[in-house]
Amino acid sequence: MYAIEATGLRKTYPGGVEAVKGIDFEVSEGEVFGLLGPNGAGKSTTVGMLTTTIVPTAGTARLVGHDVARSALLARSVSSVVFQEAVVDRSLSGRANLELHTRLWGVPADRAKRRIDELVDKLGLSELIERPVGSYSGGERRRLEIARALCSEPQVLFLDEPTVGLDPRIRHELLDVIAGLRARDELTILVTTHYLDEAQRLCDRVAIIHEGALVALDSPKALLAKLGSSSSASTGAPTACSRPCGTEESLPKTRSLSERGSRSRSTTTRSRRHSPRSSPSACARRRSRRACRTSTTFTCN
Amino acid sequence: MSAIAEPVPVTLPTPRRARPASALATLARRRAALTAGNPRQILVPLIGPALLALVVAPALTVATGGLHSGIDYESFVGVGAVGLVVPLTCIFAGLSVIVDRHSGAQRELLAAPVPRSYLVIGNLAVALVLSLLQVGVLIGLSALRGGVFHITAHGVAWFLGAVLLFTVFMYGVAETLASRISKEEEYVGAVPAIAILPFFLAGALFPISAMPGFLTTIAKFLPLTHALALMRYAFVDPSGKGLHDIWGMSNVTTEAWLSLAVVAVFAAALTAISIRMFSRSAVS
Repeated sequence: MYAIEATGLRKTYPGGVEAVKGIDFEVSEGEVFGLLGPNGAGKSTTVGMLTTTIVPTAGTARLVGHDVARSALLARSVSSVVFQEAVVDRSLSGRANLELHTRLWGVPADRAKRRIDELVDKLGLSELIERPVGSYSGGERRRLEIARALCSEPQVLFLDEPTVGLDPRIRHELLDVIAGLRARDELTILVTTHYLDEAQRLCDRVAIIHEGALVALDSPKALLAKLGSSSSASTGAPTACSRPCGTEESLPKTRSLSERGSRSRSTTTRSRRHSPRSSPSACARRRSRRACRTSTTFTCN
Repeated sequence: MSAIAEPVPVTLPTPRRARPASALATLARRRAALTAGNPRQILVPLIGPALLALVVAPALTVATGGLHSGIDYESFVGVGAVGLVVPLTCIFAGLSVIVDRHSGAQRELLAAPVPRSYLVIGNLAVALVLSLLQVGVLIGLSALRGGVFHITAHGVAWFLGAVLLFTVFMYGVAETLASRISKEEEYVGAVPAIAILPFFLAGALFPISAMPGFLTTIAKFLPLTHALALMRYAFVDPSGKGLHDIWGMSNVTTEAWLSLAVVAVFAAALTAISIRMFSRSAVS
């Protein structure tokens, strides 16, 4: 069983806008999986469907085996989200927000208190936690949002563009925090971003999403190898992926991509301990299998 | 050996979830904390009705000589003002749903492992408590100003029943509107039609029999008319003249039960509609 499993996941909004065009992917327990793409690519819609706040038009998705449509409550109970926008109650204190979250997720009071104290300490919120959230800076609020999402001890954590709108210093601080979450082996993370360097730093594998379709999926290292040394991402600079960042076959030559044929599909290995990053042969095997399944081609425009 | 490394099976967890009562209490506590942090939401709905009870009713009593039906006009209007304070309180409560949606806080609640109907019911619980407090203050002020109320245990039961069911109905209206209207300014624009117009037609300031016939007929279909007639039957008008204006029957107890049933039906219908509307509009 996978921690996250999406099959043919599709979302068409009223008016016929196809935000997500039947994507398939799986994420193993303990893996950090990135959805990389430009604004409007369908990342947040995908997260919305996985977190049951957006109803899929077609397809299925499971979180730790729980179908997000048929067993939405169970799916929500094993997951937590850090949304792109702030969702905390600004007039309440940081602690009140965390307590609210633990109560809604049914964490026993004594355990919740321990967990909150631990997270407040780890995320450097001790001095702020009794203050109304309205007085927090953007970075402080984002750290509180991460603490909020973690205090219910989720098995699956969704981070929807967690660093968007933050200044570079705060952004890098936050990336350290998120990278630190990898220490928890049982936590599966799906992070969306349009920064290639973020995906490279945080993720075991990255799926590139463009116009609602997955156009590539591999380890960051393998994707960067395809991008070639010309990519600004290889410099480590915060690179906004304002265009599709790569494909399976023709990536170094492309400027923008369109997908023809059926949707791409990929399968994960167990976790980062057996991740594509550490196992190039496994990457090659998966690529081979994907190619057999999909016969996806990409063209340069 | 397979070309693809198979994932190690993940043990299906026993998801931990809050008990329904605990989840509802948490949601209600959140709403109460947010409301308490905004005293205007509590005070503003009370100002107009309090002025009606304390200033307008006594002045009209002097100017017109009252109702000429043996019913104290100040207490008549004191109860009638409930027909304004409850809708205003509920409309403000509905506004906070739009604020939640715009501030983003609603997304966190939608991602929580609680049924979405609980989000409506949690807010409703706070609206009920707030309405009861405001009605209590209003009746208290009216009594202090000289209104005459015949308070008995039997009357309190009828009064509470009418206030609670009417609040449930009005909150259902407010929540439904909040689900349908995306902007706060548009929502506020609906207040006169939702809160003020029925107040004038439902016999808040004068008996419905004093209006032209067609307006009296319209008034009989408004839940506020039934709720006010019940409240007056409970505290002001034991003979049930207001109920008789609606039903024209000889047994006042039967008329009271019928009016309570009407308000209950409206309350149940609007609660169901509001939950459905919220659940549909909150997710895209």
